[in-house]
Amino acid sequence: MIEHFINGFIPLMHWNNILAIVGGSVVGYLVGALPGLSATMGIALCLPFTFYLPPLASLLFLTSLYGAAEYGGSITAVTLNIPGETAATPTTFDGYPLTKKGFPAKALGMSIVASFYAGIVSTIALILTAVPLASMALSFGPPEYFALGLFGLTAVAALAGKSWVKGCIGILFGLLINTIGIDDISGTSRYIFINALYEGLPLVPLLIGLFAISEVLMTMEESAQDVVLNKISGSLPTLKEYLGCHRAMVRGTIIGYLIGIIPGAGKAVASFIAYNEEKRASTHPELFGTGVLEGVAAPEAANNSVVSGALVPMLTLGIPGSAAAAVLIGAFTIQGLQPGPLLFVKQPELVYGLFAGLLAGNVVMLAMGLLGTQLWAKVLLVPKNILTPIVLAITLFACYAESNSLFSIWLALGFGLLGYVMRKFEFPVAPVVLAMVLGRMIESSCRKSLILSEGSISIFFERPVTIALFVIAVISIVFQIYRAKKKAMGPG
Amino acid sequence: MNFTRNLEGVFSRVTLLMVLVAVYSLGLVPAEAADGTRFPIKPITILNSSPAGSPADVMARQIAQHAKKHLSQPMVIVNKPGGSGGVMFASLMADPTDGYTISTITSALITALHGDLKKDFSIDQFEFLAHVQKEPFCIAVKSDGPFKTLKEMIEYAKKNPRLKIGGQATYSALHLLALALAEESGMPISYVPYRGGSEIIASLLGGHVPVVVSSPTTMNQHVEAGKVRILVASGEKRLPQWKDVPTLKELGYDIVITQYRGFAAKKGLPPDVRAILVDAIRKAMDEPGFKDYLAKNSQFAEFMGPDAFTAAVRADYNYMGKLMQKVVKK
Repeated sequence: MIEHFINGFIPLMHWNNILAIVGGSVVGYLVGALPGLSATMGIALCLPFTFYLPPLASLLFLTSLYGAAEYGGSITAVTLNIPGETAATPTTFDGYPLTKKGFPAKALGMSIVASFYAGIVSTIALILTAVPLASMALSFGPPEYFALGLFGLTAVAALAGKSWVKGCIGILFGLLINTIGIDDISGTSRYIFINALYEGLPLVPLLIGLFAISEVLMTMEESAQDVVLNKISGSLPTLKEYLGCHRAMVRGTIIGYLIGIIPGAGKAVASFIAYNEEKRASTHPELFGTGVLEGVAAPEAANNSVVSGALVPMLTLGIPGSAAAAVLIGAFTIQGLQPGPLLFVKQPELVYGLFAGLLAGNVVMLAMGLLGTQLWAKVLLVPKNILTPIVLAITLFACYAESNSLFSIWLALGFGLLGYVMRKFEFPVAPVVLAMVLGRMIESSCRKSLILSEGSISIFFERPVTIALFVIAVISIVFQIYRAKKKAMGPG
Repeated sequence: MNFTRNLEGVFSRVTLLMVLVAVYSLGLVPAEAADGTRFPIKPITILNSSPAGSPADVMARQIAQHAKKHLSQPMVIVNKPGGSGGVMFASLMADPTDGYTISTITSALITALHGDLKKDFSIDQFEFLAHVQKEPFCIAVKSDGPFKTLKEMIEYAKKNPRLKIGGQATYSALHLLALALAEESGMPISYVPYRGGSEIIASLLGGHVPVVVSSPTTMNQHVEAGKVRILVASGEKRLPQWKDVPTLKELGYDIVITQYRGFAAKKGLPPDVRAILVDAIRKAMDEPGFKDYLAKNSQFAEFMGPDAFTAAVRADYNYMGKLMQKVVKK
């Protein structure tokens, strides 16, 4: 294997492969930074062009794009409170408060280092554990997905802000609107009044509405007093601060990698869970949400670690670990390759070339991220009355690009209004996104489980992984309540 | 003044560019198609209802690549996924019937016309241009599982609680195949709908469902890797890569369901335009590059022109309609 691995670096010396990695990273960086243009979409948009590239160059281009996009998503999350990718949503919780305090470069610096760290560590993990861990991807059947989904929902505890009740209302609302569309199991249509709703509510316009547009509306209100931010500090995190977040990065990386391996669980779930777990493990959970660096490091490590994790089942079994990996499979097929059990045997040079390229891609991403940090921090010096209309236009454009339909723009505007009202009444918007991300998985896996068990709920309590996930979920909730109680009693 | 001069500058540059483009393209265009009035004079859009990289998409891209030199114009694939094909149908129907917008068509889309889509679309609105590929479905189990033959599976199913069969989507061709076999053989089953080929294979390899119905493309490499056994295929004839796998027909079940991929347009295409398109697709299928792609992906091509393809699609549509009434209404 070592010789394969070393041989993997040889193709990286070819100029076209280097160009593919750099090109992919640049495109990914921009795709990530553009709210509304997701990594999956970026790969899908570039896929037809890779038709004309040699196989390795094509895969290097797309995987570099994927990794860089996951990092890029944090840029707008930190600077503008608008996640560039769904998975960057938790990054807004502490990243934006840091910006408000005048330290956008610290948050951005932490984000790029965490992304780089997770990218490298998870790629090494991928190289070493892809084959043995492939079976883990298979151990997840419908009951396990159901349990994972419920566990994911408990992350609401970390998102709910001041009020549990409001957080839960957000979750329930998200689950409710999730039922719109063709029902996967029975094939009947639910709440479809126009053709565009066949697929259900798309996540991207919803994310843009709830975060970007509502944020724009909020800033419009305050723009009269033309606020803050002449005191932007360009300083990056200190070495001590990096080291202080090391545990957060490790935890985020592990969570992201494991969730990445599970096909279809998705990167957003990983970063939500990583944020939640970080808050729980922290010695100062009460500071989360006010701008702590761990709150940036954990989800950012997680969403980059997912990239390698998602490649585990894809390369070993031909089963994509994420939506973006599913599109990547398309890149293989276009080249006449078939990812799966025979790929390591038939095309080892390709697989190890890809591994080497992933490592190189992370280095390119780090360089670009560090170079860009100062630049992005400067964006904040642009007066808000100029910046916000630009942001609005770009996000609406991206929203259109995603689906080629005007409907999603109306949807984004509608949810923007809703998000604005929610924020006015201090309802957190993140739980709605969380529920949208998990809802479909929870419903369809629950119903599939019940088909398998012929209606008996015992199927959820017979399997070790489900039981373990349920137990963690319950502990998670009880622990949060206990801590809240203790805090409430403490001063009184 | 200054502005006008600038404008002139722009115009002359545009003219130069046009001349350049014209010269450049003349060099590439085959002589017989260069008279300028002949269809096509601009790129042709192929709408595809599945995402980039899916089997129908790859097929369309291959055809587009090899048809280019016969058409003298590129064919551009535009992916319009979603709504069981409804999104793509809507956009095909919105464009003029001039041959510049055509679409891929698959048996899955034709079957979907029996479902919720029938409120908005009907098979009569389409014109079928060319049949390109065809493959049957197959029933697969894990190779270390208990079933060696279809007969063993059916006998087991009759004695035990409902057999769970996984497949893609509800009321799809795969679902109907499972229901039809259950009905003919008298075994009780529960169908578990998954979202796609990779979910199906994950569920089978993970042991979450004992049996799945799927396309051979999904199964090929897992069979080769020795993880999956194919019990039966649903075509007229046996598959060349699995010579020892029987068809349902051979085993005495009157079920033949195949998945096909080809091209369609909105009804009312001018006959000469249709002839040019069909001819280009046929020639593309004869290109060595296209044959190479088929071999690499274990795919099989069979050209059918508009008449034969229309008849085949109609027959399939009616068969699926009957099957659906027979097995679903209960």
